[in-house]
Amino acid sequence: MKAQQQVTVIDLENDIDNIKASIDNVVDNASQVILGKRHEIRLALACLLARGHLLIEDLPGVGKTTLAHVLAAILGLQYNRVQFTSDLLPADILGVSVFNRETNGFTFHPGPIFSQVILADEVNRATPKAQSALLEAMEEQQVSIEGATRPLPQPFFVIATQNPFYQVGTFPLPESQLDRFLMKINLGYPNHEAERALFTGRDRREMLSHIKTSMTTEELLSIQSTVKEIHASSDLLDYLQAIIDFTRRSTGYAFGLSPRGGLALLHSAKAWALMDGRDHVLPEDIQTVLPHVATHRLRLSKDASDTGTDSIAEQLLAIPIP
Amino acid sequence: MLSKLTFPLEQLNLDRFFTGEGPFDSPLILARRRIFILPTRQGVLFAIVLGIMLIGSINYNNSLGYLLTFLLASVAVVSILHTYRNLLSLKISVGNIQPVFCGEKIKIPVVIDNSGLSERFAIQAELSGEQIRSCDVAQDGWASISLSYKTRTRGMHRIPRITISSVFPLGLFRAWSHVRLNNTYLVYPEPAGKTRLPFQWNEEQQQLRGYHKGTDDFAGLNTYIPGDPLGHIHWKAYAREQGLFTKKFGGNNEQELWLDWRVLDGLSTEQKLGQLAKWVLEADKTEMNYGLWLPGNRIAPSLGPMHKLKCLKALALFREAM
Amino acid sequence: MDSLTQRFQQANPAVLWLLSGIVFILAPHVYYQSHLLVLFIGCLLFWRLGVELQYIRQPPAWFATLLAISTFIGITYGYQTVFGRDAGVALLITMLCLKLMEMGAPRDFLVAVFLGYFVVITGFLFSQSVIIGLLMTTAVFLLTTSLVSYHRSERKLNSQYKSARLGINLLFQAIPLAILLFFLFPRVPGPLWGLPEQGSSASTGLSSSMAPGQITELAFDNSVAFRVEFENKIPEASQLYWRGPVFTYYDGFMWQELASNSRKFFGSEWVTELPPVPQVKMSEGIKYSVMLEPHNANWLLALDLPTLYPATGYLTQNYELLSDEPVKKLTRYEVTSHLNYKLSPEAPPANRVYRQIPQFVGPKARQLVLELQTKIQADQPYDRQIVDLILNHFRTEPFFYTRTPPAMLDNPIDQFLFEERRGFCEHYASAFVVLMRAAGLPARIVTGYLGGELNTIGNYFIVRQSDAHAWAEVWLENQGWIRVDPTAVIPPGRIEQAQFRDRFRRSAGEGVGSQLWFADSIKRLKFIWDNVNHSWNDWIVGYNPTKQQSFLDALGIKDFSWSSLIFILFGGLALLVLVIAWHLSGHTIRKPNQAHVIFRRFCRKLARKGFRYSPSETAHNFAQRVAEKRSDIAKQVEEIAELYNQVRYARAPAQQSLRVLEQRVRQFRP
Repeated sequence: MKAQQQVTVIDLENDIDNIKASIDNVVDNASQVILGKRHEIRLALACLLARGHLLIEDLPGVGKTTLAHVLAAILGLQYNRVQFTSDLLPADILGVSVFNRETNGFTFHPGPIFSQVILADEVNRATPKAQSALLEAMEEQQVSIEGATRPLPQPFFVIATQNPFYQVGTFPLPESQLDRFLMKINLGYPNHEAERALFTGRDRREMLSHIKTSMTTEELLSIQSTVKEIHASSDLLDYLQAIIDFTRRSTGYAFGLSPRGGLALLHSAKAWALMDGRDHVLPEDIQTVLPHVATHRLRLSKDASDTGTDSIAEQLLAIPIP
Repeated sequence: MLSKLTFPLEQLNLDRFFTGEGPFDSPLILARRRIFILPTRQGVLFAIVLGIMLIGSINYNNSLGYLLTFLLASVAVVSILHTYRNLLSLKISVGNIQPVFCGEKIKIPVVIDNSGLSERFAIQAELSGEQIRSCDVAQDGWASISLSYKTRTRGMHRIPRITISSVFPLGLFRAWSHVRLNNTYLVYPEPAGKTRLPFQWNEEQQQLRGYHKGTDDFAGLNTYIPGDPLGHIHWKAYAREQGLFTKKFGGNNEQELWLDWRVLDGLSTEQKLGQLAKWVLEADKTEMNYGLWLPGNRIAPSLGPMHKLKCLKALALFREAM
Repeated sequence: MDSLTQRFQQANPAVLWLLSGIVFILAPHVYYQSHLLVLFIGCLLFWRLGVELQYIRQPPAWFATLLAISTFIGITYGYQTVFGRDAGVALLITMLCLKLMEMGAPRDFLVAVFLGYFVVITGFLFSQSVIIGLLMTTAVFLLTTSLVSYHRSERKLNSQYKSARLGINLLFQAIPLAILLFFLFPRVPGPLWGLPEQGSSASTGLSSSMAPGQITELAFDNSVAFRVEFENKIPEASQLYWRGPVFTYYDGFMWQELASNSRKFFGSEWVTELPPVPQVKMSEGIKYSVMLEPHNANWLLALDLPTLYPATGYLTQNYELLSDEPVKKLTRYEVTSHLNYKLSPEAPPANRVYRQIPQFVGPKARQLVLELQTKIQADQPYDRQIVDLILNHFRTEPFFYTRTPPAMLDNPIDQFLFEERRGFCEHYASAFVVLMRAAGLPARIVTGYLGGELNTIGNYFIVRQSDAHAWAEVWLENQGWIRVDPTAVIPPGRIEQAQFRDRFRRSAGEGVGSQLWFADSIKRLKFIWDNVNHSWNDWIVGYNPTKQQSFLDALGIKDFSWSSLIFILFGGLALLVLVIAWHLSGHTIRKPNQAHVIFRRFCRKLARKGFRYSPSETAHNFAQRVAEKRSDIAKQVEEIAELYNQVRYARAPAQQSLRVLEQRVRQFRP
């Protein structure tokens, strides 16, 4: 909290330059471990800076876990991983109160969720009950167990991974839950060079243990609060609204972007602008985050999927900038 | 607003006047040069009434008569501007058009978007003189007018010319703009023919006896994808609020039905297509996997609304090789 | 059964607007048309309302036709004609109301509205007052709103304020155009064809004959006879004798104007025998303009003695100012009068009618004259003395002024002079002239108006019918015709009705002098209202070719030709239309973002070089795309993109950024 006070718009321009430098540093460090995924790392960071949560949807083995691990390590955050399985219970995530003979009372054993970075691996394999325990904690930034409300540590960043839908025996997150994630990214296969470097370079797991912390928690929290100070001009908001309007009135979608979706877009764009070292948002910021913020909140309507229109992202990026 | 009047004669393009320019990509903004305005029959009648009133006023040298005549004439002149601006800067686009069978009426949803500063009243849309519908468009709002049009030939067609017009407020003048857009619609062949479904001619199913539903072996659950057959939905899971899942059936004893162009000898191309379209509809009801064989196009056997539409689309777009 | 509100909500609001408009259109006709017709039309309107509110079914077509035919017959029978103003208007009104009965097709509604507009104009054939003007403006507003309402797709009652707002807007935007047309549209004098004779053309105001008792009616008529604006000097109130008809012939009961023989038709044109020219001091002429309300007779009122008058008027031998045509509509004319004059002092008038008295009239009066003649002193002029003696007789004997005199039927002069001794100006003037003639002096009666009320708001005089007056003129040796007002000698104490007490005392400077402030305010309000009427009459109703000419002169458009006038008219119209268009467009299209406009200009320049800007592309991306291909302009393009982003999206863009951007784009030569 002390750090936040230091930052408050005294010299935003100067701050922003510093912030850009330290974020670049973080990204550089992370890129040494996760090869060829600089853009995805930046997106993940933007998501963190905008105080959102990240959903990574991809095949196993493309480095989802590594990404979460690396981020936590570089930022010096407390990290925990929860492997979601079909028999996972909410208590396995949140924690449980156990009777203590010595004190003759219940002692709360916090679950893995009480950490700053949580990797919820293969979230769609767990039952909806377990999923909602995580999602509620994400939304409220606190956990209520047995009548007691326990705040979660700050910053609190959930990276959930999900296998693509068509794998058998999964419970994909419903649309209403997907909305809780600020962004959804795909890592995808590494490119040719990166993959070659992966084969020839050092062992990734080993590298993980050697990562230096390049940012303090206070610094991270202050950057998070600086994101709010980023300026969005009314012309930019016009563009944002044009996008939202398009999703609402176009017959191509089952439903339009919610106000929360709009806010998510704005916050992500602000975080991206800050990472680019700007104190104001540009349309390109929106366009950069748009595919990752909007697509998982939208679904093509039946009509549209029948006639086979362009993908959601392509449609949204084709909206004229007013 | 007077651009129409100052339009140089040598540039005067009568086609623009009578049929409109284009076609353009949707949406099209009704700019000044696209809007034409002429008196209506009522306007001419009104002018005659005014003429009589003027002559009367001159004859009786009646000052208030003059004043009234001039006031009404001025109201008419001012109404030109109001009629003109009622259309000005409206954005016209066409929504998704549901394919229909030939001979049915196709519904073309015309979306009228008003990003201007005033409400628009009684905007009429018509399809090449076929049908007139009117609606109001609120400020910063939009309205959709569904125009229907009887289809005559199968295939992919460009939508006919849409005329957006308005006689508001006084009906003395009609402003109009011919809008020709690039949107297309699909017309399936009209289902016709008396040949029964070709169960017995299915070569690949010769060895199979009797009539089997290829839906015996339960092979797991799939996430519901719009278009899956309703009968295959795992309703129990849905009742448990686990979401919509589709039961997947396996096994190689699924009966496949081939709707084959080649068996329909002695019919003209259109008759064949009509018969095939009818078969597709009938086969869809049997809940049997069916495939479609056309010269140069083979659709593998499957089931469900998506498959049905795919088959029908293939029939609609069929072109015989020369 | 639905409630009334529900019924109103189901009704077509356009029809309701139309019906209310028609009520306003017909309002003045209630006053001018026969009561039977008004009743019939009222029934039709209620019927239509009932149909609209679904209380009654729409009558079948044959019934409407039958009704139309029978009305036509009824009107033809009632008015004995279908031509002429009254019958024509009656026919139009019923046609309008019957049209309401058959309103199925869209065309029927529009025809009804247009017919309504047309009927509006017929109201002006009866009156062009401010009130009628307001009524008709309201009617036009309601009809226009009904048209607007009719063309909307929304039929809900509670959104009708939008129709009304647009109706008002249309009207207000049209008013400047209408005013321009009204004042500049070339006016054609005279009717294009013969005006149909008008049924009710009874003259109002002064009458062409006088028997005691007639002016009484006017005394209580407060309507305005005419208004006068003096050009510079306002004469004293005691001199405001407005000269009207002059009566010379007395048959014992009634005074009449001797058929005017001063104007004869010779060959092919009217020839006017000019009256004797008065001796006046030319410098003392008083110039004024009169706005005369229509009274259907020929005389034009003017101050004693008119010396310069409009070309459409002429003077009779008796110095009545007459117009060629009866004054059937508001007429404006300018006159110059000389208040000090000598009219034919050289020789007594030759015409014997000025000395004529029927034999049986006033034996006692003649006796009185003989008695008075004994008091004549030889060294003084006879005529002057006899006038004074008779006036003195009125003053000293108990003569009373009353507005309700007793009937004097057998021998009005003697009865008045010796029995009743009560009467008003007519009686006094009549008796005085008879006495004068009995004394051998040429005398005549002049009727007209006396005084008037100064409207302090508009600085003009209002002369009302109640100001009507009669006085005498006597010819005196060496002085010619002089005005004698015998009523004025009655002392105030002998005036019976208090309200008339001040009538002849304005010369003494005694006003009503109300102490109550509200009486003053009311008077002020009355003046304001009259001023409105006056301006209305002056500028709207009285705007004719002559007035247009002088108006254009005042504007500095001298020696205009019709073509130049039309040029100015249409130029002005086009200008106004452009202004309205600009105003409307400002309320229709959003103002484009200035930076965006400049950027599009930049994009157009690049488009010519083959770089097409897609509207969904950001400025930087576009600049990069261009820079990759054209390294020579890369720097400029990137700078412009940067500036553009600055102006549109930066926290606090510098004020000059936009100008710099514009400059860069202007200088940009790809």
